[in-house]
Amino acid sequence: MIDNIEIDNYGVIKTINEIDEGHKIMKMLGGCGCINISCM
Amino acid sequence: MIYNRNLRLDILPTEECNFRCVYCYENFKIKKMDDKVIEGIKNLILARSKTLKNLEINWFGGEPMLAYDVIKDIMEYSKYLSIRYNFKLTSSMTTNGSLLTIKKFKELYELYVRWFQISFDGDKDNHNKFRITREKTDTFDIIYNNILNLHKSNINSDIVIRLHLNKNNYQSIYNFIDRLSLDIGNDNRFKIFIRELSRLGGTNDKKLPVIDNQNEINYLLKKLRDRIKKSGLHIYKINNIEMCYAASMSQYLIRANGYIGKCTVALYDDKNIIGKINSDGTIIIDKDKLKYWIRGNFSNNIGELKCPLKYV
Repeated sequence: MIDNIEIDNYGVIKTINEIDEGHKIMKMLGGCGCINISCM
Repeated sequence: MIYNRNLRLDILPTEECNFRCVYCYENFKIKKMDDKVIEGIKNLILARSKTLKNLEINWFGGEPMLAYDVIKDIMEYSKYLSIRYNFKLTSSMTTNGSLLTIKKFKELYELYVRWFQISFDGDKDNHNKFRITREKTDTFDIIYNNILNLHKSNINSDIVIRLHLNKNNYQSIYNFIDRLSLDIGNDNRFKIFIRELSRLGGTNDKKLPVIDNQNEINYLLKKLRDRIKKSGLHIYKINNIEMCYAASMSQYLIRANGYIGKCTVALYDDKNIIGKINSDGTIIIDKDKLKYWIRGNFSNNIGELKCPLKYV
């Protein structure tokens, strides 16, 4: 599934899959919850 | 699906620092960002502007305030583009706080840099053992005074005061909480975030008084958080499951030399050099390296989203 990505010249990622589960989870959780180095 | 509506840039305008904190993992070799990289970032944002809904710029370093002119330059241009193309602009800064005068707090507020993270290692005695200047002088008073000046002002910026708990500073943090409570009270612009001291790859890692027992860490952090609440101070809350920005499909780290990465910690890991920005705003990305960081989006694996670097 991860093979299906394209990146344009300005870093925009395009994926074939309309919904990928991991990203769905991330969005449900409100996106990135880190504050810089706290993720470590 | 095309991930073109949100863009998060974590920018290191310099990798030099005026501090030499004992636990720091950076080597300070790359100095201030040069004009070609600045031009590249501005052109990248311009190229993305037409489809953007949200642009988030986070300033990191080194000490970002040592390159204040770079920050101003990029933020002024981003503000102009956000008005012209009608996207939301937000910005934050992780800083040691030593150069944040009221004048600069005000200027940064106008440029949408309105969230700051500033670290302490306890009260004056302990803090000054860990966070010292490049010239080995104390830093507590200058940072604390800058914070007090913001408290006395009407600038509506948010400050996260980050505290590092180690084997020897529990009482010192406790005293610092009491000091903050007296000086800042329930000013809700200030939030407190406590975390245990960690080894992040610095040269002094082996000597650091890190608490290794997780039960002990949890017990001490709980006691300190209870003290914060009783003191009327506010705790900074983050999601229970922390998802790392480095796993995001719409985030890039831009180093002072123009290298593109993902993570602000593993700066010297080859996996974290995934490309380079050109002065015309185009970026060259190694697709295989990028896939490593964003793989959690496809695998449905929380660990890979939480910390793509650690979870191998």
